[in-house]
Amino acid sequence: MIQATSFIHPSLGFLTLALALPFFKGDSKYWRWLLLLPPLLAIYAVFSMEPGVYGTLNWMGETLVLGRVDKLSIIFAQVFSIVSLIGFTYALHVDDKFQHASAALYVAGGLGCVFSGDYLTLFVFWELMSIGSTFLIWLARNQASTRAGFRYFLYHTVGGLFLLAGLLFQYNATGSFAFEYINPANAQFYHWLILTGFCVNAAVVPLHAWLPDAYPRGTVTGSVFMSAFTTKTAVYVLCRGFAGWEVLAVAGTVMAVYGVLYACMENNARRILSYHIVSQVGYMVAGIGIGTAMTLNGACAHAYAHILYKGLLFMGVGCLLYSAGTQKLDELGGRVGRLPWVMVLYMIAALSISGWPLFNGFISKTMTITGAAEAHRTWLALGMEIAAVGTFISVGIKLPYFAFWGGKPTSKRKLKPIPWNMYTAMSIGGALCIAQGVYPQMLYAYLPFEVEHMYVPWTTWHVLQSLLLLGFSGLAFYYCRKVITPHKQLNLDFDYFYRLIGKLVMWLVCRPLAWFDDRWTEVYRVGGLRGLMALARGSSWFDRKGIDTVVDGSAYTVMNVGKLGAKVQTGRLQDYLGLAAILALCVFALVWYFA
Amino acid sequence: MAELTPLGAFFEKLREKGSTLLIVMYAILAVLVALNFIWTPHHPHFGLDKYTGFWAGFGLLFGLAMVIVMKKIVQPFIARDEEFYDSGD
Repeated sequence: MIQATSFIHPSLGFLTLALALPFFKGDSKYWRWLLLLPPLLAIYAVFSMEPGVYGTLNWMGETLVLGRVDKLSIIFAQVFSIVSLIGFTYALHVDDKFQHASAALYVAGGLGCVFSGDYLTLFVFWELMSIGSTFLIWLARNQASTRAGFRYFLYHTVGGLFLLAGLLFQYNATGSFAFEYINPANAQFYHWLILTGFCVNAAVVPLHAWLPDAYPRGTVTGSVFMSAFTTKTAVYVLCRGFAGWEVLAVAGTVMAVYGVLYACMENNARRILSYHIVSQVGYMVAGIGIGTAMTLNGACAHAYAHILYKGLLFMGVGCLLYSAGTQKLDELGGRVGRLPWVMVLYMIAALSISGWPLFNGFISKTMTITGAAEAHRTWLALGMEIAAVGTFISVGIKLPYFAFWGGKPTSKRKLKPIPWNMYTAMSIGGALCIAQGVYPQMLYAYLPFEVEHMYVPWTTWHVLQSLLLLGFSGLAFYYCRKVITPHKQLNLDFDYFYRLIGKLVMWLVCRPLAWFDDRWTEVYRVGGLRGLMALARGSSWFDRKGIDTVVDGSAYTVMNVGKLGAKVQTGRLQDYLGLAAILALCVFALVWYFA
Repeated sequence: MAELTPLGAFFEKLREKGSTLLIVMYAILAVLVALNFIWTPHHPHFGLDKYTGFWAGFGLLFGLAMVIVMKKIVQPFIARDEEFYDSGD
């Protein structure tokens, strides 16, 4: 099946871990070290693989490609593998095996998408990500997370259906599931369906509101994984399939600005970071939409850097939530004395996302902006500069100011000590953010698109421009620090409209459909029931005389199977999803084995 | 309550020196603007960015405008109680 020894699918270890974890017994100190094996295997696999096509399967006459390896897939798989090691290190102290299994499924899905060579394989891994991440929200095990998980899953199911419809229509039109670059000049309606499905996961405004709704409600460790995979997998598929689509250039810039505008009003620390995912992914989407080699490289570089610093941001705020029991800025405040290293490590990420020299955002964000300007997309580049101002104000100053420096905590709760593994994971993330900032070649060496002259971030002017822009943004914060003080409030976003659609469906079900159901029940009772009774009497006679003697044995078998079926039908969607995922994996394993 | 670590104690001291930090910040910003008189972009992309102080003014003005417009004008229209979506329970 596998055509060369140089390719080990990095998802394999994670899938094995997810399947094996529920069978481990006893205290987590015995099995938790196994969590680090799949990420280490994935890192080894990615660094040792050579470009080519591997792992082809024949399924119902179709050739599915599990391992399309090229520079684009390698750079995304590389950072996915590294952040999975950081994420599992951060989560080592967690005893809940199901959280780890969900994270492993999720990571396997993300890596699977990156190496998919056709839409059908992509769709399977795409949905696996959706299931894994939904559990990472549910497993926070509170009412808010349960509701948010259902909304998240519903929304991603709709997004997945757009993708499914698009790929089926493409197959109908072309006879192929091939996932290749689509020239915007030759775009068909099914390409737009696929693009919509991708845009849901990329959190393109106005399809973005699932993200700030769900990510703040995930588990402390689960949100670290989620900050890395869903949107960046979408960036990868957009980069592969939709480079140069003008609509993405505009939509990306809107995202970049929209995210920072909402973040400056927010009180919930993880929601601030969530809006900044929308904003930062906006830079990548805009770079893809502009479509020059430099902006495409900028999108990939920024995705890499973003995964590292955003994971670190979520880890830092996760420490606050873990230790202080709250993520609301109005309840935090003045924590720097008690959590100094959390503040230091958080600030490495905050300065990275802001694009300060010496940190990795400086070498990635500026590449996209300069690329946009050099492509004469002046307004788009200006929009991204405005977003950079807002990013530093919200994530670089507002969040740490109100969490660590200013004021006093309103909660009297004693801080919970932070486990060593959380500090270790954050230190790895912080070290990589600085290393890439100081030595850009560490990242640039893996950029997939050929350029005549590689972008040079470390020039006197670039450094001075960044310092001027960000320094004076800081001054703006100082002047309006009393205005920006966060309060306990919810800011309406586009999810208000999503909920209206939900209410409309509920109304349709409760009113017109319920009326029709009532009438139909009446017709059935009057007309249908008598006929059915007569039929039942005839069947009963036939059953006693003919069937009973023949199939009693079968009936017992059916009864026993029925009992088993009734047991697994718990009525809980979580259980059905878990069961479906296990069945899908078993079928997948059988197909893989016998193909 | 446990003793602060040396780093924690250092940061706690910094918290009390707000006015000193402010002077340091102004001094650094002044130095940056002074440097902007020496270094300007060789290939200005936006036209106005060839002038000294453009990026300083850009950061300050857009920073102020963003916060004031969103917090004072937009948020009053879209802010609701934290339990807004769960109030029907």
